Amino acid sequence: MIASTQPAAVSGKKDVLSTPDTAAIYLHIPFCEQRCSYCDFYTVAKREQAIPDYVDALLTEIDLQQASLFWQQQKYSTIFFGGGTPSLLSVAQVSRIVEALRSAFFISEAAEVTMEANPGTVSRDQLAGYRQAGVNRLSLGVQSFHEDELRQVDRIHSVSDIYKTVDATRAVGFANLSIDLIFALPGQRPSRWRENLHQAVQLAPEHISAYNLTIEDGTPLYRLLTSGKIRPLSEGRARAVYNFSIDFLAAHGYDQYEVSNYAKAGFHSHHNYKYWDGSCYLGLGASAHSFDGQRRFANVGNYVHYMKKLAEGRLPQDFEEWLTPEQKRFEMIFLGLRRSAGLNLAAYRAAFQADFYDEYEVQMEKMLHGEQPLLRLEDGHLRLTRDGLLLCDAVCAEFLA
Amino acid sequence: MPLKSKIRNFCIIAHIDHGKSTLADRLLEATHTLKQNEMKAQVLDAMDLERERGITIKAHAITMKYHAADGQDYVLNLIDTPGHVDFAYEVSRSLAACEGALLIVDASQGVEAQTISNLYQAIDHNLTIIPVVNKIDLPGAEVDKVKQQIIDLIGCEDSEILLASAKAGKGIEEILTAIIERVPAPQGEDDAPLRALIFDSMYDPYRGAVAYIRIVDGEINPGMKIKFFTTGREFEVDEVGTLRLQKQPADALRVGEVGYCIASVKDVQDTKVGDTITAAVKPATKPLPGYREVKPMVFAGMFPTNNEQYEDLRAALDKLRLNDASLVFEPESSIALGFGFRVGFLGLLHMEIIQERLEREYELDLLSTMPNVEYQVLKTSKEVVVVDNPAELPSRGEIEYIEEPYIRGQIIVPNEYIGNVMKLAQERRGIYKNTSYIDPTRADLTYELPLSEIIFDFYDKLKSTTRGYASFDYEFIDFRRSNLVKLDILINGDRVDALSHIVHSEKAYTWGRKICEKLKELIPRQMFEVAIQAAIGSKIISRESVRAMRKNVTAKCYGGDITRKRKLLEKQKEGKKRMKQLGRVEIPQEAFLAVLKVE
Repeated sequence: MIASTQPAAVSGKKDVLSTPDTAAIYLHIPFCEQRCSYCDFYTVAKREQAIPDYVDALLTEIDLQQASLFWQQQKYSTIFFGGGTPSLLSVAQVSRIVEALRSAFFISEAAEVTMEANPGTVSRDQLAGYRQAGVNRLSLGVQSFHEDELRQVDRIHSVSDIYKTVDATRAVGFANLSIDLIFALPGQRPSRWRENLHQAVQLAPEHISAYNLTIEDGTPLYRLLTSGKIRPLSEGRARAVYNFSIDFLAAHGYDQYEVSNYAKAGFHSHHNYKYWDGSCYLGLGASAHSFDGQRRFANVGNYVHYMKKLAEGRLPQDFEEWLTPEQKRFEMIFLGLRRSAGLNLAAYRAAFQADFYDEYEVQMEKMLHGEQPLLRLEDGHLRLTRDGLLLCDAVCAEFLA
Repeated sequence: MPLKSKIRNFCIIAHIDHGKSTLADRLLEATHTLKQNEMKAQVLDAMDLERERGITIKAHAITMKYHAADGQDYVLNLIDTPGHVDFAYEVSRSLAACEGALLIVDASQGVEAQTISNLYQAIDHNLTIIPVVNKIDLPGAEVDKVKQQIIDLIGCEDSEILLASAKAGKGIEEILTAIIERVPAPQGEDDAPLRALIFDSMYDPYRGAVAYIRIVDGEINPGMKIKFFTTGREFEVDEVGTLRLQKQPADALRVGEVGYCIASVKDVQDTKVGDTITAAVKPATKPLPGYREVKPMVFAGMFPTNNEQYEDLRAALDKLRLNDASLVFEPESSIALGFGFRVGFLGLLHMEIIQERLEREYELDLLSTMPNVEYQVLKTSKEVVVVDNPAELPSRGEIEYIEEPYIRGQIIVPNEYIGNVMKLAQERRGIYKNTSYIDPTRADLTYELPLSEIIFDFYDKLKSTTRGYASFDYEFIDFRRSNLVKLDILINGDRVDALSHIVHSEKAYTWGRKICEKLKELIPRQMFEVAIQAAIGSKIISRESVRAMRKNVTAKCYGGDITRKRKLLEKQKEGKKRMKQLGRVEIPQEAFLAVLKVE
């Protein structure tokens, strides 16, 4: 019996998916028309001619993974096309992939099927086609409602593209729309970010992901940073912007359910949750990561190597790690704390036959009390306070042995 | 068995880097003591640490056989001397075991403070001095100038000064000839009761303590019952012999000979440098002069970062003490740092060496507190207490006065830097005593200084203020009354005992401020604000605060990010491993030495 995959209400702090029993599928489409200045995902620009072969490789990979008893036995409740720019795939290509997945694996009829798309790169017909192919949730890489900010991060779309694309998704019947925003751009004034948030809620998407810009090593922004051409927003400013975002979005009906994710009631991303609650996920495509409950592994990053391996009929894995008991504990803790639902202490006890409070007494003493507690205990869950959320990484690191 | 008249015992006096070890190696080669393939560069510096630092920490000795130009065979015993002021007493005992000394002076550097103080000691011991100007073939060599310095210093004739380049092997035969011609053969009574001077000792894990000795009177042989004068303890001799590259057992050691003695002595606490070995039956009535209990001058707390290593630290210190009679320690507990030891050292170099050996050879992760000297405190109750740990200083109300150790320091410096040196000495509460001149360009300044003012960074400061030209040597004089106070450091309101230290009251405010500033620099931002205060008694004299982190959260965490993020957090945590948790605050280890880094 497949667990209900109807979007469950994320009412306040209820841990809706505390007993993960379904798995997720992620597909990585590394192609982009242009690389964004902050992006450190595995992507390649201007190689769209390789897409048909890449899709063939994906289908081969699905075929090979189907032979795995483990993945064969899972029941899947979410599929996610990420990238890159998955909307560079044609409707027919998406259809083939979804069909292949459905015939290879046990996927719930009501599964959440998300596709990332860039404003301005998808036509209304294309969107209608994706929906026909089974995609029922769209995640739009909006990032900003200011032209200069879009240029700053090398996005290829314009502000008007955003409105056009959102209108189109609604017109073709998408009832579950998410938009991605990015904040704390170098030099970004608070008023401009407030305008972004304001525009975003005006569009009334069901879900908003708002990411603090991380300047990753090796990105164009990183080079600007190291050459002194840009300066990151100060920690104090970034803190204020983040605090404001949480409050603003809450006031407009978007509950924060994770560090960077907000949703209207019932519309949190099921797929996101899969990464955080210990569920298994199968990653397909170049650089995609998988997790089977014991082992995390990843495909080779380079898409040419990826396709070559599959053409030889071999799985293209080039990374794997078996989680130690300590690593499992720590992942459960930090992935739990990043969510508003927090860490379910009963689930911790069940997983490790140990009482959380006994094991982490020192940390609890340090962070649960005092003038400015960073943690709180509520109905069997350990949660970050707002102060704790702002220092999430430091708080989590405390729980390492 | 060599005739007394064919023995020559000598040492080498030289400043660091003036070529002592290289010269010693050349002598070993020239006398065929070592075959070429046995030569490691600088054989005498046996410990890795010694070779790395280019100094001799422990004294060693080696016996050479030399077929001289006069057709006779001689036995030459080279007794090496430690090259650092921390080990001055060991130097004096090595000198006492010799009749002659090679005075090695670098042709481009000239005479330096340490050379002079060792030279004066050698003259005090009536040693025949053979002056050698070394490195004569270096581009900067000023042979005539250095010769003149030597003539002024020891009043010798120009013709007595030998010229050499140890590196190029020049002048080696001349030096050997001079040793035979000029150094007197040993004196001593063959038939008198045994008196042997211990000038060094080492611990052999299989055989126990090995005493390095010079026979002054009588003889020592295996099977003989011997007695150590200071401890009165008796042992039976297992083995005696001479020191070649390896120990070479002999049937006996007689007057004038230098060698070793093994007698099932458990550790070096019984074979103290400077002590006299005599016969248990028919002992000598008097020991050889000059024995002194070596006292530590500098103290510091040493704590394992992981308190579970306390036992390991104790075991390691016990082992080091087997080979180092000057090392003293007792258990100490600190609120901040847990269980550890308060360890006494001869000086700062000795401390560094011990710490490095503990970390390297025993794989201990140590945290040491700021070193301090020993204070004598007269309490209002008229009781005198010795304080080697600032945390244990009685409260101000209980103190009548405090005395601190003073040293006499000798600084040799080119004239143009005299002003800088005087300024530095004054900052360090130095009392000017005297100036004399080594030559028209170099002065020899004498100051009396509190030891506490020179144990930190005095030497480094001296070097930098004189562009490396100054040389420095010192000896302890006495304890003197000083206006001293205990400066406490409070972190988030809690006194950190390991950061307390004793300072002169006039310096307390400046120091308090600077230490707070330094700690602010060293303590990384944390999840909570950290208040740093300096206090004398209950009076806060300075404060700083480390602001809390404002935001520390990575935005994305999906799929493969989880592994990456877990590793990042593990790295974040790894960085904290060398931190000490005090309440809610994490203090990096360097913070405990913050005071050393204050400008």
